[in-house]
Amino acid sequence: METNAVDSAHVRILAALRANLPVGLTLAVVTLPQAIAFSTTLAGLPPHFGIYAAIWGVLFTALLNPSRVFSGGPNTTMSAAIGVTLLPIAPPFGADYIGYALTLILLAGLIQLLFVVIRPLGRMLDLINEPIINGLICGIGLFLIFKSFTSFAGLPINTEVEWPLWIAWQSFLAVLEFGNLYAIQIGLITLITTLVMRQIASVRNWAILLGVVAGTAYSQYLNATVGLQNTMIEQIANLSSTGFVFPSLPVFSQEAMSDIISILPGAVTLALLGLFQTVAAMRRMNRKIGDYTDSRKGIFADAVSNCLLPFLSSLPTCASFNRMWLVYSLGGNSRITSAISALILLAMVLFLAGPIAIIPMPAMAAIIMVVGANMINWEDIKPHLKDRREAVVFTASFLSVLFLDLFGAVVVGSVLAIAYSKWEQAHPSISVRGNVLKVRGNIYYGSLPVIESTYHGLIEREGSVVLDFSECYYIDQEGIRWLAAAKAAQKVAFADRRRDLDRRALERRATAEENRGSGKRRGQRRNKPDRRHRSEF
Amino acid sequence: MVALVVGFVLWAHFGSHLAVFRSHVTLERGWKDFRAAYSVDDFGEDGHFVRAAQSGYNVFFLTHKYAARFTRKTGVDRINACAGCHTAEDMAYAFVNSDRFDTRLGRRVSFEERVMRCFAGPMNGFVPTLYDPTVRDLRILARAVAHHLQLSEGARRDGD
Amino acid sequence: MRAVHTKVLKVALIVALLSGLYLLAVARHAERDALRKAAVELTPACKEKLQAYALGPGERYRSPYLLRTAGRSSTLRGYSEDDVRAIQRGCNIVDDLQGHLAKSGSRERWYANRFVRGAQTTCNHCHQGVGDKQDAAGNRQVGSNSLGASWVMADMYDRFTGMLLPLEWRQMQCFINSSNGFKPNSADDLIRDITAYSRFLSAALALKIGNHYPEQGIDEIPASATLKRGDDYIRGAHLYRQKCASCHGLQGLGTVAQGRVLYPALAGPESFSLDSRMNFARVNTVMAGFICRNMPLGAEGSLENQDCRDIAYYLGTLPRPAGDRQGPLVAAWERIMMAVMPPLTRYAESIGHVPPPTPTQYAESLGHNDRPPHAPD
Repeated sequence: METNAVDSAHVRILAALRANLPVGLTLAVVTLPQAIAFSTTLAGLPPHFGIYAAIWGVLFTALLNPSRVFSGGPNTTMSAAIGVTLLPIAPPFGADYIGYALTLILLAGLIQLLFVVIRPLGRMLDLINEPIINGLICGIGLFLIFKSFTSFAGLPINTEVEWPLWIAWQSFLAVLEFGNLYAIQIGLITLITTLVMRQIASVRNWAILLGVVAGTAYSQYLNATVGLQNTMIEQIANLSSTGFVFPSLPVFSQEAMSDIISILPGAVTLALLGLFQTVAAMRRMNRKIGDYTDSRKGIFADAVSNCLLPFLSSLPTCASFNRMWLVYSLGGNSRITSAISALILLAMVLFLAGPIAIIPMPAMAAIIMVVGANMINWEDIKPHLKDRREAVVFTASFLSVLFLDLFGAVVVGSVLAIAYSKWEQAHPSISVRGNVLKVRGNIYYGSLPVIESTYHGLIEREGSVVLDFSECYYIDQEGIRWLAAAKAAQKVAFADRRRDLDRRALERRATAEENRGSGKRRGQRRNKPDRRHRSEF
Repeated sequence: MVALVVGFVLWAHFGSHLAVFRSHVTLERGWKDFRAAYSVDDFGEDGHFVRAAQSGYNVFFLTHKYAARFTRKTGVDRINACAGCHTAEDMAYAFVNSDRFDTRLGRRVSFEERVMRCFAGPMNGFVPTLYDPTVRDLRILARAVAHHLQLSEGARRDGD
Repeated sequence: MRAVHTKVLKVALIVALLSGLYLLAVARHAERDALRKAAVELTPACKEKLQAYALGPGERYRSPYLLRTAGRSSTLRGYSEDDVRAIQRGCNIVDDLQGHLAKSGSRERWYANRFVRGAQTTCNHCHQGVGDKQDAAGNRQVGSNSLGASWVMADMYDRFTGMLLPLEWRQMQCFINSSNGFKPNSADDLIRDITAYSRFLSAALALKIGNHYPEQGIDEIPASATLKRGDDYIRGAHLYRQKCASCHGLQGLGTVAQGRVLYPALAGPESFSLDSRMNFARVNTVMAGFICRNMPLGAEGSLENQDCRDIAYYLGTLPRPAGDRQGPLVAAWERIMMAVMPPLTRYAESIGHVPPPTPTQYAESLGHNDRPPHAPD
C-alpha cells in the first residue's frame, strides 16, 4: 500500500542518515583544518576558499558522481600548484591575486572538461601508471614540507620561483636564525601533539584536529600573557563577513590578458594534477575494495565542479584517496557522507567562526608538514623499488618535482608515462634455443629493431632460423613487410607451436575438411604470413 | 544533477542579492577629492601604483569593510577605521620615521610591523602577514602622501 | 607490547629531534641578538663616508652635506645607537659583502656570502662609492646607482618581476641576478641593514620621497644616443682588448690579488647572471650606460656611446651563469661553457694565430705616435 511504501522509504532514509552521520562528522572534522591550511599556506588564498571547497566542492562532486566510493574535496597538490603559479604574478591574499586564482581554476576546469569530452584524451590518462603518480606524490609531499618552513616560523615567503631544494635549505636556516620563536613554539606543539595522537589507534582520525586545538590553546595562552601585539602571531582571522556562499567573478579584463596568458601553463598543470590524482585514487580504490567505478565518472564530476567553483570563491577539487578510504573503512556511503559533511561544515562556519578565527598560522603550517609527510608512504614506495624499470620511472618522477617546477614535473611525468608504455612494448621477450627464435610479445615497428638484430646474429651463427610465433600476439604492417622480406631471403622458416600442435598439420587437416565440404571453419587464429605463404609449408 | 548544480551557482550570483567579489578596486566616496588634494596623479592617472594607493585609501578610511579579515570592528563601532585615530599625514610622517629603534619594545620596528601591531591591538583584530596587500597598500598610500608633502627621510612634523 | 614500545620509541625520537632543533634555534637567535648589539668595525671607505655625513646617535640629525652644498641645514629625527649600528653594518655590507675586511669574516656581514656565488661579488662593484658616488666637489654623479635615490623611488611597478617592488625585494633581485646568487628572506637582518643604510643616505642627501634624482639607477644609453651604425660585438671585442682587458682580464674573468678583488669578473662563474639587467641580451641599455659613465677607471667619459654599446654587446656574448628563469638545462649548458670555453679559446688563440697584444705590448705601441702598430718599418 502507498502509505507503507512511503513509511518504508522514510525508515530507509532515516536509517541511512543514522548510519552515515558519524562518518560525515568525522569527515568534516578531518577536512576542515586541512582545507584551511591548504588555502592559506599553500594557495595563498583567504581561508574561506578552502572552506567553500570543503563545502560546495564536496557537495558538487557528491551530486555529480554516482559512485558509492568517490569523494572529492580540497587537495594539497592543486593548492600548491595555484600558489606556485601565481606567486610571480601578484602578491598573495590580494584582490588581484584572488581574481587570477579564480581565472586559473576556471581555465583548469575547462581543460579538464576537454578531457571528458574528447574520449581519446581521457584514455591517455590511463597511461599514467602507479610509479609515476607515486613519484609525483612523494616529491610533492617533500615539497610541501619545505614550503611550510617559512610560515612555521612566521617569516615572509620567498617570491619568485627558485630551485626548491635551495629555498628549503635557506628557509630552514632563516627559521633557525631569525624566525619568530613564539610561532616556532606553537608549531612544534601542534606537530608533536598530532604525531603523538596519530600513534593512538582510537584517536588517529582526530589527530590533526587535536593538534590544532593544542596549538590554538597555547597561542591563546601566549596572547593572554605576552600579548598578540608582541607575539605577532598570524591567525586565520575574521571569517564572519563571509556567509554561506560568496559569489565571485574570475578576472578576464583586457589589461590582465598578458598575465592570464602567462598562467596558462599553470592551468594545464593544475588540470593534469587533478586528473592524475582522481584517476589514480579511483584506480587504487577499485583495486582495494574489489569493485569497479569508471574513472570517467570521476573526471566528469571534477571537471564540472572545477568549472563552477571559481564562481563560488572556492579551491578546485579532486578525488582524495585518504578521504575515500576513511569513508569506506568506517562503512559509509560516500555520496551521503559527503553531503552530510558539507552541511556540518556549513553549520560550523556559520556558527563557529569565532573559534576558527583564532587558530594560529604556525599550527596550519605544522598540519601541512604532517600531510606532506603522510604523502611519502613507504608502503607505497617499496613495491616500485623491486622492479628496475618501475624504480627508474619512480625516481625520475620524484626528482623532477624537486628540480623542475610543477609544470616541468607534470610534463616529465607524462613523457615518462608514454615512454614507459612504449618501452614495455618495444622489448618483447626473445628467447633463442638452437636455431629457433621465439618471440613472446608483439612484432611491430617499435620491437622490430631488437628482433632484427637478434635474427641476423642468429643467421650468421647458424645459417638458418626458425621463427616461432606461438606466443606472438600482434604483428603490424611493418612487421609483415619484414617477415615477407625475411621469407624471400629463404633462410627462415615459420612455426607456430601453439598447443604443441604442428601448425602445418593443422592447416592440412583444415584444408582437407573444407574440401570435404563440412563448411566448418576452424576458428584458429592465423597469422597473415602463414596464409600468404601457406604453400611454402 | 548538472542542472541543479549550475542552477545553484546562477542563483548565488543573481538571485541571492549577495555581493559578488570582483578583483578591481572599488571607487569609494572621497577618493577623487583625496587624489586631487594629495596630487596622487603625479604617479599617473591609472596604473599599479595609483590603484594600490586607492586601495590603501579604501583600507584607511573604510577598514571594517576592506580589511574585514583583520579586524573585529564592524560598521556600528565608533572607531572602526584607521582614519578614526590617524590622518593621512600622520601615516606619511610615520612612514619616513619608520625602521627606528623603539625604546618600549627594545628593537627596531618597521612601518609594516607598526601597521600589523595596530590591527592586532587597537583595531581589536588579527595580525596580517608582512607582505599582505592590505599592509602594502597602506605603505603605498603613506608614500604617496609623503611625496605630496615632499618629506625626506626622518622629517619631523615640527622640523625646520 | 612490542608495538607500543616501538611507537613510544618513535615518538620519543621525534620529540628529541624537534627539541634539539628548537634549542639550536634559540642558540642561533641569541647569537644574532648579540651581533646586533655588538660594536661595528667599519671598513675604511665606510668610516670616511659615515664620518663625512656625521652619523652618530642623538636626538636630531643635521646633514653636513646639505650645509656644505646648499648652505642650509635640515633638522631630521635623530638615530639611536641601534639605528646607528644597523646603518654602519649596512654600509659595511655594501662595501665589503664577502667580509674580507672583517675580523670574523662573513659572520659580521650576516653571512651575506651565502647568498652570492663565488668569492668576488660585492655591491660596491656596481653601486660605486658605497652606493653614493660623488666627484671631488660633492656633486652626485648622474646615473651612479645611488642607493639613497633608489629608496625614495621604491615601491614602483617593476616589469621584470611584475609587481610593485619594495626596496627589500629589489635587493633580493640584486642578489639573484647581479650577484648571481640566491635570495635572502626579506626579514633577514642583511636586508634590513642595507635598507637602513639606503634610508640614511637619502636623509644625509636630503632626498624627498617620490622625487626622481639623476643619480638614481644607471644613465642608460639606447641606440638613439648613437649614430645608429649598428651594435657590433667584434668591434666590441676589439675595444675590450684595447681598453678593458688589462684590468678585467682577456677572458673577462677579473683580477684577484692576494684574496682581494682588484677588478671584478665580467664573464664566467663569478659574474652576473643571464637574468641580470647588466646582460646586454636582457636590457641592452644598462651595461652600456654603466661603462660610459664609470669606465675605464681613471679615464671616465673617454668612450663614445657606440663604443660602450659594442663592448656591452661583446660582454653579453661571453658565457655566464644562467638565471632562474632559464631553467636547469640552460644552467647546465652555461656551466659547461664557462668551464670549457676560456681554456679552449686561450689555447686556440695561442696556436697558429698571431697572438693578440698583451696589455703591456699594446700600451707600448700606443706610445709610438709616428708609427702605427704592426706597420712595416
